[in-house]
Amino acid sequence: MDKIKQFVTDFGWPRVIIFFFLLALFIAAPFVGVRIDASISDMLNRFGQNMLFVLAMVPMIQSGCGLNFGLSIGIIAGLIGSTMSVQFGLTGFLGFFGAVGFAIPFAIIFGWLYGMLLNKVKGEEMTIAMYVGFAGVMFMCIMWLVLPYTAPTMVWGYAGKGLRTTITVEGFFRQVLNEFLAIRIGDSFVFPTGMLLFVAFCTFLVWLFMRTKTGTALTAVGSNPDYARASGISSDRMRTVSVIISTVLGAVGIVVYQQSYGFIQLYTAPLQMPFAAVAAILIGGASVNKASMVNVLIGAFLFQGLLTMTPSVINSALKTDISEVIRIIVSNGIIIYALTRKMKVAK
Amino acid sequence: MKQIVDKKTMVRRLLIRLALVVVYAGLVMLTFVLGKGHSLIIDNKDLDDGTLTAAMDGNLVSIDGREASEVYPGDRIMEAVKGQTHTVAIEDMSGGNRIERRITLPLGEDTLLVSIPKLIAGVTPAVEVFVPLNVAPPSESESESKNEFTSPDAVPLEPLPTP
Amino acid sequence: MSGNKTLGRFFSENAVVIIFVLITLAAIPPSGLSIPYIVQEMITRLGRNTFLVLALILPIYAGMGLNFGMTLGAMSGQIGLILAINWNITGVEGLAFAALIGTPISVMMGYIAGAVLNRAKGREMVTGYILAFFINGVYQFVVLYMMGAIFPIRNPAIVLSRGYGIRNTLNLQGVRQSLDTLFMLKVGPYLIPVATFIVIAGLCVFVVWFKKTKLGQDMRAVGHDMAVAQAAGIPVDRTRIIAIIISTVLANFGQIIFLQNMGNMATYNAHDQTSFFAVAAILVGGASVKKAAISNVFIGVILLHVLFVVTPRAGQNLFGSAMIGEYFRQFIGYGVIALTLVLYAWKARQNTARARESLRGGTAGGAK
Repeated sequence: MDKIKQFVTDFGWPRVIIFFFLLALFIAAPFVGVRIDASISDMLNRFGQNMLFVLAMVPMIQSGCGLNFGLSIGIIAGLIGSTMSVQFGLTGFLGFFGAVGFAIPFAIIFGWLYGMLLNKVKGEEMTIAMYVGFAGVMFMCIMWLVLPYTAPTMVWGYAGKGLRTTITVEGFFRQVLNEFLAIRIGDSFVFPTGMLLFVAFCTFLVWLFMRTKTGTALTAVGSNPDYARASGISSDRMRTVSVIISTVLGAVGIVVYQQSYGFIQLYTAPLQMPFAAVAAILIGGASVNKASMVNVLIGAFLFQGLLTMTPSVINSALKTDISEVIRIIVSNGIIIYALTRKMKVAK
Repeated sequence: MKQIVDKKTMVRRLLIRLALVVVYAGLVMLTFVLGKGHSLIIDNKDLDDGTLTAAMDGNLVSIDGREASEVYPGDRIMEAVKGQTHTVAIEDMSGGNRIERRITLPLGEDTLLVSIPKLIAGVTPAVEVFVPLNVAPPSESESESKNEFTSPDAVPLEPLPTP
Repeated sequence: MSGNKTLGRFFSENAVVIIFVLITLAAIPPSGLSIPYIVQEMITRLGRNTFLVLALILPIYAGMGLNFGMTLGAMSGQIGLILAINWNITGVEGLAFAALIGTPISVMMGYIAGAVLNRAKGREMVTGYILAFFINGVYQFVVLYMMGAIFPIRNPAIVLSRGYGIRNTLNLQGVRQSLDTLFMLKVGPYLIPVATFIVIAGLCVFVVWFKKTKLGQDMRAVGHDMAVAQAAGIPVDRTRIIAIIISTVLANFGQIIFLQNMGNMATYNAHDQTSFFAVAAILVGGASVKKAAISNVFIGVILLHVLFVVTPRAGQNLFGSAMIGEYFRQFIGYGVIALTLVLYAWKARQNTARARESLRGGTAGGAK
């Protein structure tokens, strides 16, 4: 009994509750007419789509910069990359990797500037990150209207100037990863092998990096700044590195997301994405100053599972669309729970 | 941090809090009664049971001293009022006859019918509940948000539906 | 030499205000708007928004930063208005009724918010922001699903066609501008809602008086240094909660004043931008996360809203697109909050670094 209690306390009550809730939804699904194989397929899809965003949270948490509410900055870099890829008419794998290739330099520059800013404001990073992200998105909104894109699928019909809000990547790099080595079982189950492989590879890279000298230095800066300083590690430099990595992951993440979802969403779409990633990693067991790969996997899985199952099951059961409200309550409730935990001082 | 206070202060605190609750309840009721709005339908039609007929000539009807409206036989006008008691002034357009009547509106109902023939004849109650045939829902007009932070076609800052 | 230094310090202390004034002045000519129009807009918006911004003062005073949780108070006021419209209570009485109904709700909300923020010391602002989203979910649940279904609504005109849940837009015809027109004065070509300003003045007097009371002094001590206040016997947690409760109740009233001027209410969205506008205004007015005065409120509301009136038009005329003006407006709004927070945090670090150096006697500190 004690061991179970210990396990639950370690794992965290909210996580346990969400896990059982998810299980209950799965059990209830067939009774309300929701197909399990379609649901699992959906869940895997969304899991892969969003993994990199959740992964992007880890470096900054580990280095003591808190939750990266400014992930929008990385997403913007990714959007620049993918719009450029479509503009140049790159298709298939070339389109996907082209987008990533274009995005990464932007992400590095943005991340570097953003990191420098955060270094000047140690202690209040999260709020500032949020507003810098918002301001950045708004600035890009102006840019999307003004930059000289010309590809006919991307710009508004009449004037021919300014990008559309949603741009399809059908014919460019839609589903290139998902379809790669995809496993189909029956009518409604698709295992997006390519995407999951790619995402797993990225996770592995990050895991590897955290074990390198730089990676451990990064963690030291976050968990024990005095020791880090005594060892001659530059806290500012490590923090900037973590921000750059986070931004790059965000950039690559949105390209993966887009190829799976099928559309490039510009303008104000990036505003809400950081919050989902924050909720996910917190669900996964991370705290404001400590996160691991396990947190990423569990968190992304549980959160996206929740997001997939809750609307379909509850809507079918109640014959009404209550999913949005539930999503708001659950994801924000989780974040609040995490923010109100006592943390070990890591300044 | 519980502070130890003597009984006298505790009783005093309780009384003050009770008084506040009473005052609060009183204010809620007061604003409710004073502010309750009603839609008055002023009606100059023959009564269904044939006892009274509509005032033959046109009349100028004014409620609470507002601008008078012309009410001809068979007419119906609508006015929005606030509060429970009102004065209805009916002036005969030709003869110069002027009658003033006070009416009291029941608190619970929203739309009420005031019959002019009844008022003139002094039959009480001259006010009865109006049962509409159909409540037409108002059209969902696009909210003119001149001060909202977002422009009409920008996506507002709310959670976007996840695919 | 010292003259330069004081000039430099003046600029850094008031950087945000100066930047704002410059941008606004630059944007007025290309906007093509006449000065009387701008002045009238300014008067209207002062009446509409000042109360909400004033609600932010006490939490800053108590050291809890910018109270993004004021949205909870706004939601309470909206519930009050929904009920007032439901029972067709009109005029100023309707507003008072809504405010009265909203008060116990906002006290409860404020208590919850205060308790949560107490458990997130050091992260109040982010927590308050997320808390507002969370309670927004609860609000939507109540207003979209429970009202009309579990909570009886007698006015069918405000219910959605499916039979339960309140409509997206509520026409506040009955109480529209009731407070404003209560005592409207025409000075030259300008209309001034005197009654509204009297209410605002009343709140200012309250704030000034409150700061002098023992509770007010306690808040100041807590805001200054929680440990010292605790040692002095002040119930720190309780004082913080009270600050948030008062702020939430004021936000309740403020949102009602705001909505009566607007004339209609976007049931599910009206409160989304409330905290953001108010926070931007007080920061633009020169307040910081730790210090806010009543003058900051008025200056901020005027500067922010004149900019909001002028920039979209300027953007439209300069770039030929109304959208760019809109986005520019939002960019400036978010940017100014970010800028102020950055400046404040940077200054705070500089002060601690300076203090640390003086302690060490000026010897070179360790690696950065």
